[in-house]
Amino acid sequence: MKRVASVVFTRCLLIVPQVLGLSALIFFLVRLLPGDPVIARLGGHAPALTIDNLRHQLGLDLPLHIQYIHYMKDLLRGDLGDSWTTAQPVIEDLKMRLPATLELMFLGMGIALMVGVIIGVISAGRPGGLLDRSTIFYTLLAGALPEFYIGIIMVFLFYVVWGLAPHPAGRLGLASLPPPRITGMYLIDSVIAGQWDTFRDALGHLILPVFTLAFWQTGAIMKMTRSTMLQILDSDFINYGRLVGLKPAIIRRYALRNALPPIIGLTVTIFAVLLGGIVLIEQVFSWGGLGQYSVEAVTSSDYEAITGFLMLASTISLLLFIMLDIANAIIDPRLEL
Amino acid sequence: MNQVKRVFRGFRKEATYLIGFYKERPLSAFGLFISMIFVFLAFLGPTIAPYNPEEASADFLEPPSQKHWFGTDRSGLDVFSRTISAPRIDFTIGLVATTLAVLAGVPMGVIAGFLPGWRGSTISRAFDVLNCLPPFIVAMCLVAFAGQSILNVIIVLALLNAPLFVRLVRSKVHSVKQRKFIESATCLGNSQTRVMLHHVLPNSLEPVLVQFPVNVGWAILTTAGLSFIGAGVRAPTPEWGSMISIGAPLLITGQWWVAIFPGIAVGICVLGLALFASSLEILLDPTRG
Amino acid sequence: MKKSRRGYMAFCFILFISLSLSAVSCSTTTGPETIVVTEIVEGEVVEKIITATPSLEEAEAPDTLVVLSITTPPALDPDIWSGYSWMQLMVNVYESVLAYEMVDEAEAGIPDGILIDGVEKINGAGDEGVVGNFFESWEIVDDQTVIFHVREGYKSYWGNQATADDWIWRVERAFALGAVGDFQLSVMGITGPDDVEKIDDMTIKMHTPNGPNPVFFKGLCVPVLVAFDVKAMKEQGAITEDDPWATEALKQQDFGYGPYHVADFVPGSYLKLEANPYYWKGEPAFKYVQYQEVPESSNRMAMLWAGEGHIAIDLTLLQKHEFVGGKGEAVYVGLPETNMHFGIQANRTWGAFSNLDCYHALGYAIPYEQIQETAYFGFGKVMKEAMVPIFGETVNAGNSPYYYDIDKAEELWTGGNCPATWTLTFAAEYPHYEDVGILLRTEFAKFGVNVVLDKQPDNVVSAKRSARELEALMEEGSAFVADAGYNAWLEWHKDSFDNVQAWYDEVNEGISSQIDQAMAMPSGPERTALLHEMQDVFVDQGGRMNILIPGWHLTANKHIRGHFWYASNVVHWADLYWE
Repeated sequence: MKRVASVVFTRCLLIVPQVLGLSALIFFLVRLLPGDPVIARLGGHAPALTIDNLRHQLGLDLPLHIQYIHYMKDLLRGDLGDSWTTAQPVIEDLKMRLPATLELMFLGMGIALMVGVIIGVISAGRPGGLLDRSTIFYTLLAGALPEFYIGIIMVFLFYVVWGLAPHPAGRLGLASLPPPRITGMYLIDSVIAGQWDTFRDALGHLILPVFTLAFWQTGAIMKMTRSTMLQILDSDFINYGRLVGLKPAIIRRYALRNALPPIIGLTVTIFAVLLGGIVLIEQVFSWGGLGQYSVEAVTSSDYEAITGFLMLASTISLLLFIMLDIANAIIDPRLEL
Repeated sequence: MNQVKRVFRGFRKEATYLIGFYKERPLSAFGLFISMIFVFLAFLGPTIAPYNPEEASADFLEPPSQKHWFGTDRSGLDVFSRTISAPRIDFTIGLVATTLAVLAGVPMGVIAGFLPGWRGSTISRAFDVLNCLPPFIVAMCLVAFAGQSILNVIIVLALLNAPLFVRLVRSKVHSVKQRKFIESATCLGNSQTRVMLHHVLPNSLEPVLVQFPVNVGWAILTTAGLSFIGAGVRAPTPEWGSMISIGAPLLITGQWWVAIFPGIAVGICVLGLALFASSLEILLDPTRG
Repeated sequence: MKKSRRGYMAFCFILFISLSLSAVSCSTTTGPETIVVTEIVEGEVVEKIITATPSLEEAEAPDTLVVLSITTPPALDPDIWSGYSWMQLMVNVYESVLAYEMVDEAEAGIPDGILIDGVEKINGAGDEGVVGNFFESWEIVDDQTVIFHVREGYKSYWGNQATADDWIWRVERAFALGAVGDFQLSVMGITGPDDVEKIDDMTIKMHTPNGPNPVFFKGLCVPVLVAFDVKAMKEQGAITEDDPWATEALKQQDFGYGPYHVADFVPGSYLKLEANPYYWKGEPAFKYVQYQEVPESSNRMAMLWAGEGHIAIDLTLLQKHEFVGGKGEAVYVGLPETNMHFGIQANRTWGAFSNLDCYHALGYAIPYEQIQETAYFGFGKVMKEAMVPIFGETVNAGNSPYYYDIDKAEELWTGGNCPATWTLTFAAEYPHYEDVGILLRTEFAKFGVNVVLDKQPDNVVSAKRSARELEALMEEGSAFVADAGYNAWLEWHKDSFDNVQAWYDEVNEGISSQIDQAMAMPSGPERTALLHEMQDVFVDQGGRMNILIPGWHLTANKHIRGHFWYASNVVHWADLYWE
């Protein structure tokens, strides 16, 4: 208990300097972007005086480190500035789009995890069998193709050629209104509100991007599950169990339980990285989530929006990594921090 | 003379072992073969290409034919020539970026792993912070800032991949440090630096070697992604990602060949690298069959 | 594996597959269906795939016009230039105080278009071809003063009758903010709020102090010179102590007299507009407009093809070309020649083109015909003058000495000791710019010169242009007012924001003062001669090398009819109807 407490304590102590370091890095990185946001906002028509006024108003004429201090002060109050492409506070933009990305991520990773673990376990049970060989092949293939390529092919086949999927432009059909917002995730909200038409519509639009995401990520999980299971099935304590005469089903259960930590570790890592990595899939499907938002922000030199997005994504990643480290340290006493 | 003979005999033994090794594992052999083809194309691709990959011509949007094996794109550029010229860009970027990442990350990882207590931890934590940044968006920002060029893409990718190697090496160094032979090296009176450089480092490189081709593959995919979104290399440099990006809106108007072929090429290249990496893994540690 | 386990897992899989299949089949629309037909082409039997698409609502007219765009506008303020989407919204929620008259192509001096039911007459002189919107009629007092009468029955979405105050407020705002409105008023001779006087609630007097302005009336047709419903703004708290010009409110809301009103705006997603029930021309045929953001051009195309959208904006030229003659639910609409021009602005103060020989060499190195045939898919026509000829007599048509001659280009380039490399910048949003860039690059490579293709997002290009940081800029542009003097003011004047080369040598000083002169004298042979001379000098000294008149192209649902083309190059939804 004492050990766990000290682990948690040291890890959490480090959060503050890490977040500070992150925020400084992000802030200065974004300010280096080309394109003058003031001119981008006012257009070339504006006379120099108006440009200077707006620059002063936005605080862009102050030295960088002072701008950083102001930004951090606002951040602590929960104010991430205003996005100029949407004319909304960045925090509102992020709140609005985060559920879209999360819905896609949860479903995609959920399916990847389910399929990956199940098939990984089966193929570890029969190494060298047909299923095993096919999964190896699939793993390598799925990891080798770029995710936007997979997405484009999906749209082409399922929408253009076969006409099976709905149009790849957002989370709902054009005529539909989103359900009353509780979590922001359309599937959940429409069920709560009892709007079954909207539910089916949202589900239909989710199919292709979720499938693309799952197709892309299942490979890694499958591979990890398989190799971990193989290692464990070969280990001493499992062999002891077999010698003693435990039923194969029970052996498998023990094996799986021991295999879970690295699998969970991998999944959490993928999750942490996916928030930023899902960008291209969102772009192909016009998903309207954080990924698409961040791409548009970069191309529009929308300082506040990019900074806000990077802060959010990095902080979520950091927290996920910390939780993972703590969990690992708790589970495995041999791990040194 | 005997020395030379002994070295050669050693070579032959190694070669025979390797040939046997790959004969047994057709998939790994395939990976090695693919990787070598792409290295070859990286050197000689543009030379053996039937058409200049950057020269526009009047045959625009032609489907695959005798004249243009993979067809042509909107500017009359030959897709086949561009597909086999792209490894020079993609592969080079992947290779150089990963090498730089290794050169930067490994020393840091060794130091971080070797130093006891909080000093090692701090370096590791600092690199962990870099890990939290969403790599793709950061890459976009950096390339947007520095300008689209091959060199900038390389630098950006190296920066983003270095923390991975730091982490890898650090954990390996940790376990190597515990081994008895390190203890004896210290007991024998070697300085800590010598132990670190001469004993620990060479034994910690194995995960790096295995990870290397995988990382080259990731770098190629990331470059393709950046070019797809317009933040990678400049037009009309032949690069798989930008070719897919040009070809994507052409799928719906029926000119499928512009996007499909480069995508397949990326897939095969990264696949080959991954297979090669897994064969490396087994080679270096035969217990993992 | 135990049977129960196996069964359980199989059940899970089946459940998952059936759920996905049912969701897929329950989705609201289907994509294009395909039929395979055999045809004989050049003596061989060929299989051709035809797509037959079910449309959304076959016979009945929808009440919502669905417009698919690259992006939603960042703001709705008429004084803040915010790109194409912004312009598209401006002409529909606001209305310029005067407008060009809608006539058929011949009368407007424009070649016949495809499925064009009339165009704006932009090439009249003085107030010829100008009709009233907010201002119903006017009396020309002298060549520097005009009295305008506000229209009775000109009402906004809230039912408020327009008054002179609405225009006065607009003029004051324009000069207070010093942005787009200021620019447009200045170019037509209004120097400040004092030049606009309220005579009574429905009458206004306007005066151009610096002399008669040849584009005075046409200038008032510009989309941003609109009337605001000041009464509604005051009632709804848009105008406050802290914000007397309603800059906050106007970001996301509109207070205009136009045919539509923004009912819902989700930035980055869509706008939903509702018709103005009191619109003076009568309620528009489409009661609602859904302005949807769909960033990928192939998605816009697919949706239009399947009938899920009625107008798709900014498809690639190739995609637009696909729709010529009709495809699926959509059809191509276009004009071969309009007020748009496409070319390269070359910086004449620094860089490769500061040397006149190099600039001339550029003119001979451009493969004009090939660009029109390949990169432009046969749309448009080669431009042989400094400005678009449809502007009328003020344009010195055909005065360009350049044509494609690569040997001559090489001679000039090497003879002039021009550099071995130069940078061509262009916006990333238009794929055909890149195609032209690649063609140019190939041409210059023929004599060993490297052209660096610098593709940037539009806002970065704008910023660099304003900072005069570009060596060569390739773009399409247009001048709203059909007058060579106005066009020159907009694009060639040394003080113009649009003038990337910012050249300050004698020639430019000379041309800038000629432009000032031309904008302060009445139309007539003297002015025309001055403008012609100026264009001759410009064509020789630089810095715009015009390549094509690109024409105007749109893709719309085959049931949509009405007027499509306006000088602003965006569509007025109120003039459309379903057939």
